[in-house]
Amino acid sequence: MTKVVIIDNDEEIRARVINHTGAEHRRLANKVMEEALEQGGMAFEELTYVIATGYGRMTIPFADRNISELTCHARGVYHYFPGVSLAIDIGGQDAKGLKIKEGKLIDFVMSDKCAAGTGRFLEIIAAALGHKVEDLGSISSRATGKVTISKTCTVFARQEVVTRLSEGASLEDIVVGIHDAIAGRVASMVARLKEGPNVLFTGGVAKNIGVVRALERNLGCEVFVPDEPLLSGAIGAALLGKEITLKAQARGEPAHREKRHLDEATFFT
Amino acid sequence: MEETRLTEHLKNRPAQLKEAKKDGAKIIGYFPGNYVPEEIIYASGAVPLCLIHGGNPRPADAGLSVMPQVICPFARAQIGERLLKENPYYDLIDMLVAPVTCQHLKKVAEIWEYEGKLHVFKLGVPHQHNNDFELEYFSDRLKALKNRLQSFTGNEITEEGLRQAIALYNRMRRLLRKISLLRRTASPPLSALEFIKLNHASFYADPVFMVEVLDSVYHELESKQAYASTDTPRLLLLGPNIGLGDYAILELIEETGAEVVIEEICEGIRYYWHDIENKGDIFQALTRGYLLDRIPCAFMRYSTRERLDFALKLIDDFNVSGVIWYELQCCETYDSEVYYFTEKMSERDIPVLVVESDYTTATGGQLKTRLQAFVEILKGVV
Amino acid sequence: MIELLKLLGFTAGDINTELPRVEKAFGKVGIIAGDIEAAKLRLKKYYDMELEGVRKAFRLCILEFVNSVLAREEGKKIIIFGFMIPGFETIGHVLMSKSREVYAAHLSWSFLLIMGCVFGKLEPILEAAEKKWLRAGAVTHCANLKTLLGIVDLGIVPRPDLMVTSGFMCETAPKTLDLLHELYGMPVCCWDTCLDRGPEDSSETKDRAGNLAKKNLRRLVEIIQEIVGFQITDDMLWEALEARSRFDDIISKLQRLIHSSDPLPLSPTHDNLWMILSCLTFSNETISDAIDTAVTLYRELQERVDKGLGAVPKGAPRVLGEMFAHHADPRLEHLACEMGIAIVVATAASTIRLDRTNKDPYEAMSVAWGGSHSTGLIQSVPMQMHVCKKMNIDGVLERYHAGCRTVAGDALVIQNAVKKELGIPVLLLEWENFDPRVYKHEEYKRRLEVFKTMMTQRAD
Repeated sequence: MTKVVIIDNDEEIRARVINHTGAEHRRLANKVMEEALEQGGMAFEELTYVIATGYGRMTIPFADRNISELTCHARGVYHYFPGVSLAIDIGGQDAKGLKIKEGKLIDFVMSDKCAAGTGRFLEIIAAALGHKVEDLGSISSRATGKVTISKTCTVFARQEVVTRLSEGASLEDIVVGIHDAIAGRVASMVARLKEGPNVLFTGGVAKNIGVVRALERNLGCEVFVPDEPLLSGAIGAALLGKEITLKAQARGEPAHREKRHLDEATFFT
Repeated sequence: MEETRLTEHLKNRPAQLKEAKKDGAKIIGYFPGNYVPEEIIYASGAVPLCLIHGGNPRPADAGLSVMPQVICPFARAQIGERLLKENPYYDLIDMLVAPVTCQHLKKVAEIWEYEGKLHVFKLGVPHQHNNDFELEYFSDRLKALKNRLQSFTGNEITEEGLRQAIALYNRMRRLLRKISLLRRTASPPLSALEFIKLNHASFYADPVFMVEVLDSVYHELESKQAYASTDTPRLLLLGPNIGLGDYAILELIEETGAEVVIEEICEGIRYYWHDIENKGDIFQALTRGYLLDRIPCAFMRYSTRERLDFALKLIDDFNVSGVIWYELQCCETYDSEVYYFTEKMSERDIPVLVVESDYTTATGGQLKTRLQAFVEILKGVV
Repeated sequence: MIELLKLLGFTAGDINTELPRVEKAFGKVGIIAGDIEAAKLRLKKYYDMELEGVRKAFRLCILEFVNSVLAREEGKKIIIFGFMIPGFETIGHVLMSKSREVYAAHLSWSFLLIMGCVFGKLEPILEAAEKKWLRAGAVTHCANLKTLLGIVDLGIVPRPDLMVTSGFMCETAPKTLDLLHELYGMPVCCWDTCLDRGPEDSSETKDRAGNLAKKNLRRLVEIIQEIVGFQITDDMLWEALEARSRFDDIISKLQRLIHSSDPLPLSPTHDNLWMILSCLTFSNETISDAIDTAVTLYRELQERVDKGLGAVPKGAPRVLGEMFAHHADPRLEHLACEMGIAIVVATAASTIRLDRTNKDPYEAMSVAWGGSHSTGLIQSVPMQMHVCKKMNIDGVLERYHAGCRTVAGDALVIQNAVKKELGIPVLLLEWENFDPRVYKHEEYKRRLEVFKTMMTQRAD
């Protein structure tokens, strides 16, 4: 997914776009940017500063700078919740834990290469259960108990889920177990950050209320989800762009390099 | 131009060693860790050769036919190098002196011993040395090594010969020390990669020639102008092992805009902080030098605190702002230390990035992201 | 609870005194009523609880478990724990025979058995360790270490006045103890030798490394003396060795009886029980209890053998299982047994009999247990071949413990040697000898079936 956020000087969001660009995300980044510009009613040249972040950030030709998504997320969640000390982001591909102090990233953990503990895990299990991943949250809220899923590996968890279902366990209770499995995994991952009490949860998986509750149980504290859990990285990037611009202006320098065009990314092989 | 001389020398080294073998010289391989006194090998007229190639996933994978994945990639790579027969050094060795150190390398030595195609001498290293009888043990084993080498090479190892060898290797250590200390300046005259490559070269080049080169390099670097300080984050690299060729992480760190100014690696570089005292009882001096006057490797008993203290000293002396903990996958003794080290470092507000490598991880994008985020933490973004 | 205790071999008189203690200990480790019921089922399923000897063996284990958990609360002034250190049961015997105020025992064997095998509740302990320095992941830290760290970290066992270990098998046990010292302020000590013996070494070498182990052991005992405040004489050590010898001899005889009988009289789930029993610490007072258990067990097994009764059919394929039975999860051994595979011997480790004619107990102990006699594969591989031939082994279950680099490093070499020299099937299984979470029923069933077929086909 490619996301674009445009903010103005007052840090108000002028445009927000979330687009499924699939495998062509790099090539099509400029198209998503165009969509955002249209939404915001402005031309590309009016943008003061452009930051690229996330997977593929290195190949955006119209970016002034690229910053890691970890730093951008930290800044973004701080914007929602100034007291934040730990931010957990679970996306489709990976999971991250960010330790934040006064808005600055001071430590982080990222998940391993495998799918467990990421949105992918839920997708695979949802498919095995014959349901949409978006419905998992509401399914779990109807549960009366929990079926513990003991397997940590996605492949084996999937098998276990199917077996349990065939043995007559309730779908709702199984989903609670799945939520617990992913939350437990992520809680273990962030354990070494020795988080404080103020936890923010972002990323696609944060829209699943069942996982939110499971995370609260596993961490032993309240977990907050911002209104737009998918945009914290992009918002953070935009806010950092503003800070960079202001600092450059204070020094009397131009914020961005002269020739910057909204081009498609080209690849050199 | 020193670099060119050294490169040429190393390119010709395997051929040179083959010739030497034809004339009856013995090539004695040994495992890294700084527990095998090369001086004794050198004094026997044999050529000491440290088996320290790493970084390439191919030999590590080839080693999987002999040892499973839970053995570290460096150890598997040693097995693999001999299996693949592409690395001339691994074929040239007549004997392996295997220090009894970590479980992984111990196992490699054991397997080669079992296969029976190579002479193996296990050099007993006591894993604790608070007591005199343990130091005596090592001293005895060094004497046993001397006797074994004498009978293996047919040459007598004289006291004179040993003293000369110690003097030579002391010079090497001293020069490496001096070169390394040049990196304390705000603008280090050589990168970590350059220093480590020099260090690795010292394990393969002819030692007399190597000392000449190091001397030249030192004078060249010393005279280089120190530039004004930059905001490039200065890093300490900690870890068990950087094999010869395992450079991807260092290259990646440079690309990301940070610089490693000092390393503390057990099996990757020659230990150069102290000289061997070249007077009195030689074997006692070697015991002190190789066992006591040095930073212990993580498998040593009661070593954790001492290792932390040394790392903190390096951080102070070299003005370091962040630590890269570079660990080979499945190195259980080093991995055990991560929790302790990161806790103590975080108490002092020193960020630590833990990187685990199976020799393929550096190519992934995720490591780049993590390094970038780490540099952003150290440097700030705005 | 009373039923469980009866099942575990407690007599009526016992139960009166022990019930409140057991309840207290269970409370501390989080065992609830539901767990008790589940435990009864597990015991009946996996173990031969009809045998009085087996019940009594469990009783001894659970008593040590309870004693360790409650040691400080019950007023022991000095507590010394041993971890992965052969011979500590003898030193503990000396200490506890001399003074009621001292408690000494091995960790974590009885905990693995009770929390793992009996209650199936080892996971929270492992997870606690994984939050500290023995993290989960590709690094594969040994779960025995995780168990030790977990029970210390969770406060399940009291902080000891000293913890001791050895470096014979393992570099990681001493490392973890070093970290317990740094992070928990725990006094620790290690018994070491030097594993540098080569094939060209003569018996002189046995003296060399044995000598080091001996001196090291003396030093260790000196430190213990300082902690407990009384002297440990050579005579006291010999007394303890003598007292235990009858017990140890019966356990060895028992194992030999099982190994050599066809049909296999007892399920291999009991295999680790013998090892744990040998590591329990007694005193001059309590050793008779232990001997009684061993005698009962032996008598009952002999009866079984005489009657030709077995846990698997007669003529079942005979398997050498590398590594002891899983210390915290009986399912693999149970599965093999159900499938009619006789795991007749677990691990062909070399043992040296204690030399009772030696005047120096330290030397005798060092030579027998100090690990210095081992040269590694060049010695152990031929020994494996020898054991396989002697015991008419039909197949080797090479279940190498991934958490242990020493053992894992041998796995493929042994597999190749067995195939080449004996031509019998080898089932290679990456295993974790202390972690119940690795069990994969369907996969293991499938692979054991293939293994069994290969063995029976060869026989035909």
